[in-house]
Amino acid sequence: MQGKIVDFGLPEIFQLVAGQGKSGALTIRGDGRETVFLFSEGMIVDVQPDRQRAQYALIGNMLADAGYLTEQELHRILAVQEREGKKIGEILVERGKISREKLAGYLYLQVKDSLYHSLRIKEGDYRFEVFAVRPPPWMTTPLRADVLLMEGMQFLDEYPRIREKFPPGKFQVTRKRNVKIDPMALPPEERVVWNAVDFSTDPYRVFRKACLSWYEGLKALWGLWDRGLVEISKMAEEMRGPGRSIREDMARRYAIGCLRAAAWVLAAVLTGFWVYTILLSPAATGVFTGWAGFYR
Amino acid sequence: MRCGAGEIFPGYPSAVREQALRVVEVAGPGYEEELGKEVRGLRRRMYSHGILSINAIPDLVFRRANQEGWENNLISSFRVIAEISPLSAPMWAWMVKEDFLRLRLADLFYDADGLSGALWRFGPALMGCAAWFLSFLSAAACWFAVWTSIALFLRARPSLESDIPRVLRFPLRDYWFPLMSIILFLLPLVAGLGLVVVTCYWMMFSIAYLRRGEMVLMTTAILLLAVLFFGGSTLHLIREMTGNTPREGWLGADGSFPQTWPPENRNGQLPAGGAAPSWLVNFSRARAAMQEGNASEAERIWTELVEEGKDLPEVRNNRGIARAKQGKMREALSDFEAAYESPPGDGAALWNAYQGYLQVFNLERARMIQPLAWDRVQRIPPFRFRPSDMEAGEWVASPLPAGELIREIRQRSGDLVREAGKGDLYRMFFRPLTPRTTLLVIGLVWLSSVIWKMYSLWVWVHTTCRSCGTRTLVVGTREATDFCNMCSAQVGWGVRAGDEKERRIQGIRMHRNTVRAISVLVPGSGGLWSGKEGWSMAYAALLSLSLAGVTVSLGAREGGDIISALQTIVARWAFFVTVILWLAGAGWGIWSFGRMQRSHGISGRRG
Repeated sequence: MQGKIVDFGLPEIFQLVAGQGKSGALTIRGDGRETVFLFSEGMIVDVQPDRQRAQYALIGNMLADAGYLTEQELHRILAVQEREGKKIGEILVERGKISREKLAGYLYLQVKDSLYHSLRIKEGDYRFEVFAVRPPPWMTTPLRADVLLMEGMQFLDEYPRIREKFPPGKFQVTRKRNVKIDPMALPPEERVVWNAVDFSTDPYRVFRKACLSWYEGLKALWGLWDRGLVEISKMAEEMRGPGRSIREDMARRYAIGCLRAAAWVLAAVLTGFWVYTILLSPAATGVFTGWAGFYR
Repeated sequence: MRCGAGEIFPGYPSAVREQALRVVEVAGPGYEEELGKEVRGLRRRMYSHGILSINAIPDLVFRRANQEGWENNLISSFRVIAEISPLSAPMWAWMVKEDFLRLRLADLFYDADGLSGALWRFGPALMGCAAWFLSFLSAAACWFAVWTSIALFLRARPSLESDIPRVLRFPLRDYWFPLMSIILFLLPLVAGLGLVVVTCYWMMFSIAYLRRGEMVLMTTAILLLAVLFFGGSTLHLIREMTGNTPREGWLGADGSFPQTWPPENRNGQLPAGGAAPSWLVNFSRARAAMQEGNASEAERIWTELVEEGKDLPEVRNNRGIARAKQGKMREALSDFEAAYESPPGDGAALWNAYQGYLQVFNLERARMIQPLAWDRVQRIPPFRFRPSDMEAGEWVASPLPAGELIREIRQRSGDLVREAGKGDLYRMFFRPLTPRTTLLVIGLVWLSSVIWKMYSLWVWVHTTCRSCGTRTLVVGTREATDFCNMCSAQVGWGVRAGDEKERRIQGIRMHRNTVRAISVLVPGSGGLWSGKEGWSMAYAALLSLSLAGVTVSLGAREGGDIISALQTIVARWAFFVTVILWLAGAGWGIWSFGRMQRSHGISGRRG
């Protein structure tokens, strides 16, 4: 099964795969990246984010952002992974860096993050290849695609409304001074964010620490902000406009186009010289003008 | 003329040489009458020795005209000289050119008839014409294959750049894979492979992305590569057989004297399996002996040829002349009669028989054949003898039957594959392949294109929207997936606002600039992007022909002064036509592509 997202939307594809209980890999390409979801009998059992374009969604980086690993440890683990060919989660659990339950939580988060991002893709293509998929050992309870999809659709609906409550661009979060509160009185998601808010001023890292997706984290943070428990402020050094990343991406594409054009101009010069050598140079025309010798 | 007649006209009897020198010295504008007298004197001496044409004279006159600045008035002198140099194809070609430029229609037909006569009756001219045709065809095939392979590779490039990452995976892909396609493109050039291998290599990479029309284009290019193979082989065979030039080989006994002959064995025979057919070489030897005045030696060789089974009318006629010059008139007449009675009835032999009857006072017989002899001898292009002027008993010899050369080459067509590897053209264009593997490789390229075309109905590969450049993974026929959905729906720059629209605008602009640049560098290839494969192919054929004109004319300086001057004109015109075609092709490619974009709602401005 293959096609374009504009023709056949991702929610329909997820529903189709989940509804028919298919096993296989769904590859989604768009927004400059490629994400692969693995299904086992209609359940999402694993995801492989784009290694180049979505490094933040790789499990090692997620755990590093959440503070479970330092950068040096992560590099060492990656080296071990390359040597032994194991999954990074397995190595971390074996070495006691993280519990099996915590790993499952972050893998679940990884799937959700990837799905939420994929649902926002408007232009791209997808491809579903059918083959038998065995759930990995740490995936104790496979994720139901239809449930995740409903959460995803809710995210699509609510996210713009929640996001606009916060300052545009990058912002930071700090716990309000001299505020005393019983965390158990807060809803569960607000509670984990409240507990993690001292970890960093960067809301992204706070949500990673709380093992929440960006959307869930923002929703919880909004609750805390509304209760007057945290302070939100725009990052002084980040006065970027909303279209800056798009412009940067377009500038990058333009730069690649210019480099490509320059390289092809060079190739054209070389080819022109080659054509001259084989068809127009005195040596070449000598081969073709031998006929004149008959009129000598 | 500063040098002696012997140096300029080697091999001819001294009386002929000296008169020929006088003809060259007298020629000039306003001196046609004096020139006519000298020409008549020379013609009588030539015919008495069985000499049909002295081809060096027009070239020497042309050189004088060029040095003295009366080149534009040359045609009047050439028209007189044509009587003594009728086998000079360059002279006839010059006159045809002058007639054409001055719009002299009657003269044009007359001179064109003379040119065709010289080509068909003079071996070197016929072989030179065949070699020119093969060289021209080969050069055109080379240009067409180069154009096609580059145009198709550039057409497939965007899709190729998207498919390479599916096979190879390493970091900084956005930067590396465009470079990768350039490296793939340049690799065979850097490796120093021959043209045929390079073009096959480029076509191989584009096969997966071709439309049906482009497949036809590629198939034509592959067929032309096979033509190049056999054309080069035939060229080599011609050169090997004829010795390449009339003076250095054995071929030019009529018109100019050969300075080298193929070696003989002890029995005076040519070695078996040699490139040159022995009977044709002996024919030339006998003609040279006749022209030198050695009638007995000429008769010996003619008799040998008859005994070998080459009892041709030309051989009989020439032996008759050799015998007549020795006073053996009875034997001579029997030869002439045998010659004109065998079909199709040799006009020269008929004339000679008429002369023979007159000389032995058999007036009754002479009167009987006189009308036919007079009629026939006037109608032998390019000689056009005038019986009324031939009052001194001139003999009309038969030149080497040039058509036999073509027949000999056709008989050796089985050697084309084996001989191919020895030719200059092969060494230049087919390295590092051997002759047998060449045909195999060409066949495999074509076969793989067919297999790929069928296989691509089931394999997912990228396609590039011809209109906006969007790349999509598709399966099935290219034609059905040529345009992305946005372009098929004619939504122009896009229905959504924001980043998606910005990206699409940028993509369309970059695609348009790319196609424009390609259209300029490979003119006419813009037509492939706009789906006009048929027109593109016709254009490529025209461009290839004009470029082939440049290739076969540039540096054609070996053929003497007239050929050099004519080729300079041809090269200039071919270059001019190429420039015009190049500009027109670039403009047409850009225009047709723009028109196609507009038909899909993509206007030339930002929407």
